[in-house]
Amino acid sequence: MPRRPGVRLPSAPPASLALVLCVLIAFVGLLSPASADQSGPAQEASRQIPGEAGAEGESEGQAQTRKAERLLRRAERKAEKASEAAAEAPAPASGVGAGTKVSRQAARAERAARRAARKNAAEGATRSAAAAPASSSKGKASEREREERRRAHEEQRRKSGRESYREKQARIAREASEAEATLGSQGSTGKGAPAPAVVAAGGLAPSAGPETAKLASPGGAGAQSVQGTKTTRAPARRHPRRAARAGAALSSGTLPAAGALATGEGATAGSAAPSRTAHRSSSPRRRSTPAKSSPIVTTVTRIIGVVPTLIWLLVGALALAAAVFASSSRLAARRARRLDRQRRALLEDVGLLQAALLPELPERLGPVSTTAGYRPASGPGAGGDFYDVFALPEGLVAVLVGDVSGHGRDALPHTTLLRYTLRAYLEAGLGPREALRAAAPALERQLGGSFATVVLATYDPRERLLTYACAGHPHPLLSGLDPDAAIIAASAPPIGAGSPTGTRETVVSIPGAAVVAFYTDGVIEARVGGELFGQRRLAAELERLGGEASAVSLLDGVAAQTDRRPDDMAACLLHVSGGEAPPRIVREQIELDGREAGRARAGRFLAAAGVPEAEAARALSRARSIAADHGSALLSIEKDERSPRLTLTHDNVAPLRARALARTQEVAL
Amino acid sequence: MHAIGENQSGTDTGDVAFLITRKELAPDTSLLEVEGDLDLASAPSLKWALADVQSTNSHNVVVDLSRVGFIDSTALGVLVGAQRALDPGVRLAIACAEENVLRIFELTGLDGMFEIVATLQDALGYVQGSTTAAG
Repeated sequence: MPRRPGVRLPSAPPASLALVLCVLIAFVGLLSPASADQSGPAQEASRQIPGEAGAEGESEGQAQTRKAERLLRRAERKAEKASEAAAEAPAPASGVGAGTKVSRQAARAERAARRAARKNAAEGATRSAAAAPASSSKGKASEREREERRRAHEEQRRKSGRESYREKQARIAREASEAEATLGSQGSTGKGAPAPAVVAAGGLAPSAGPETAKLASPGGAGAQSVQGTKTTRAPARRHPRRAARAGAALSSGTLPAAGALATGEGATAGSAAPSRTAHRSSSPRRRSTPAKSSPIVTTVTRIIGVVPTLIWLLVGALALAAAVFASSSRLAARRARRLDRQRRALLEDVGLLQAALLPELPERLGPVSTTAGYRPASGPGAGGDFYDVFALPEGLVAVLVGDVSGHGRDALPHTTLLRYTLRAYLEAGLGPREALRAAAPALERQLGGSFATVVLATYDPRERLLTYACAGHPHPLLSGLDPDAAIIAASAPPIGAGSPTGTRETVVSIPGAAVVAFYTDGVIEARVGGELFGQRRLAAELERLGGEASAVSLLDGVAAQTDRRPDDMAACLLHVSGGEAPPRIVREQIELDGREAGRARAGRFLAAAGVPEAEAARALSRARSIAADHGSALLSIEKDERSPRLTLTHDNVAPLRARALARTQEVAL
Repeated sequence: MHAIGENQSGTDTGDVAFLITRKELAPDTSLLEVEGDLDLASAPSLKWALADVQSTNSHNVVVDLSRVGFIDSTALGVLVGAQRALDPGVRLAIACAEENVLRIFELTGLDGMFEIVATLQDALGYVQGSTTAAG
C-alpha cells in the first residue's frame, strides 16, 4: 500500500495491535482496496495547496479556493494555540496528539470549521447553488452576494498584504457570525441549503452520501479540494456524528475524505495552478471511490490509518515469508511422497528378485524336514544371501547357503550364478568339497572381482552322515554339538579371493535327533551393544529353541537379542529326527598342495585335530612329497576312534576330469 | 621404524570411533594404522586409504590391525581386493596380534592369502623382502 513516508505516527502501536490490524487490513483490503490508496496523496495535497494555489488565477473558483486556504491557514494558526482541541473532538484527538502536520491540520480544520461554521455553510450553499440551480433561489441570491463581497475582500487583502492578527481575528468572528446567520436563514427558508453543506461533507467523508457528492459538481468541485475542509463544520451542526466521522477521518489521515479533497489533482495543484476543468474532470472519479462506505469500513479504514509504515512492512514481510514457507513445504511434501513411492517400488523390485533367489523349500525331503528364513538388513544392504535345499539321487539331501560380497542390484546376478552353478555340480554327483573345487575356478572368472562365501552340504539319511564344505563361510551349527568342535584352522578361502578353494571338508555323524543350522555371516555379525552376536550366542539360541526351532524362529530370536543388523540374515535348517544320541564329527579333510603343505596353517590344522606334533610333522613331510608328484595330497583325519587316524591319498584330481580322462582312454582303445 | 609423514582419515561409525592413520615407515613403505571396528560402515574408509597408498608408485603397504576389535566380510573383501590389485614386486602385510581378528581371518580361510604377522617390525621386514612368508 502506498503510504507517504512523511506521514508517520511518532510511536508505533504495540505488536498485538499490529496483529489485530493485520486482520482488519485484510478485511478493508477486500472491501475497499482503493480508499486507502488515496489517503497519501490527499494528505500531501491538502498541505500543498494553500501556499501555491492562492497566488494564482483570478477566476471565481480560484478565488474561492484562495479564500478557503486562508481560512485554513488561519485556523491552523489558531489551532496551534488551542490545546483543548483534543477534548473537543475525541475522534480527531489522536491526530492532534500525534502532532504531525497532517493530523494537526485536520484538527485545525475541525476547529476552524467550527468557528467559521456559519460562513462555511453559506459558502457551501453558494457553491451548491451554483452547481445545482435547482436548489433554493433565495439561498442562491444571498450566496452570490456574499461571493462578491468575499472576492472584493480578497482583492483588497491581496493588495494590502497580510492582515494583522487582530484583523484576522475580527474577520473570522465576522465570517463566523455571517455563516451562522445564513445557516439560520437557510434552515428557516428551506432544505436547499443544508443539503449542499452535506454535499461538501460528502466529499470529505464517504459516510455523508457520495451520491449527493457526485451531484455537487462542477462549481463545487473546483474548490472542493480546499473548501471541503472547512465545510465539514456546516453539517457538523446538524449532523454532528457525520461531521465527527469526517473529522476523525481527516485526523487519521487516510480517509477518502482527504482523498476526495485532493488525490492526484491535489498534487497537481501543488505544483501548478489547478484549473477548474482538471478538478471537474477528476472529482467524479474521486468521489465514486469511497462510494461503498459503511460504518465498518470507516472504522477499519480509520484503524488502518494509524498503522505505521514499519508495521506495514512487517506485515508484508510476514505474509511473504508465510507464502514462501507454505509453498516450500508443499513442494517438500510432494517430493517426499514421490521418493517414498519410488523407494517402495524399488524395494518391491529387490524383494521380487530376492524372492526369486530364495525359493520355497519342500517341507520334507525324505526323512528330513527343512525350514528356511530370510531377514533383510536393518540398514542399507539387502541382497547377496542365497540358499537352496534339494533332493539328490539315492535319497541324499543337498543344502546350499551363501553370501556374495556387495549388496543390492550388483549382488543379485552373482547370487543366481553361484546358486545354480554349485547346484549343478552337486547334482552331477560331486561331493561338497569336490563341487566347490571344480566350480570355484569357473565362478571366480565370472564374479569379476567380487567374492562369495558359501557352504555346501549333503546329508545321507541312510548313513546319517552330514558332509559339508565351506569356502570362507561359517561352519553350520548342530544342536548337541560344541560349536568349536569343528576345526577352523586352515579353512578354505572364499570363491573369487584368488586362492584355490574347496580344500576342506567335514563329516558329522548324526545318530540321534538334531537340528543342523546353516546361516550367513549376517547372523553372527549382528550387534549386541558394541559386540558381535557371534557363533556361541547363536548356538545357545539354537539349543534354547530345541526341537521347535525353525529358521524363522531362530532369526527372530537373533533379531530380538540384537540391536543392529547391518547385513542380511539368512538361515536354513535341517531337522533330523531320531533318538537322544548327540552328533559328533567323524572326519576332517584337507587338501594340501606343495605350498600349503609347507605352511604353518597346515600344522595348526593337525594340532587342532589332536595329532601329536611328531606325527604331524611326518604327515606333512609325506604330503609335500605327494604334492610334488601329483599336484596335491588329500589328508584325512578319522576321529571316530580314540586317537585320530591319519590317511594320505593322492586322489585329489577332480573326479569330473578323471572321468573325462577315462572316457578318452576308452575311445582310444 | 620412524614415521616420516602422517595423514589421518576416519569416520564415526556410531558406537566405536573409527580412525585410519597413514604413516610413512620407510621411503617405499606406508603404514595404515586402523583403529576401531572394520565393518560395512568403515570398510569404505579403508578402501580409500588403501587406494591412496597404492596410487603412490611402488609403495609397500603394512596394515596395522592391532587396535581393531572386529573385521567383517565387507572389510575382508576390501583387503582381498587390495591384495589382488598389488603391482608386481609390491607387498602387503598385515600386522595383528588381536585374537578375534586372527580368528576371523582363520574362519574365512583368508589367513592363507595374507602375510599376517604379530609385530610391525616383522611386517616391515616382510614387505622389504628381508624375511619370507611365515604362513
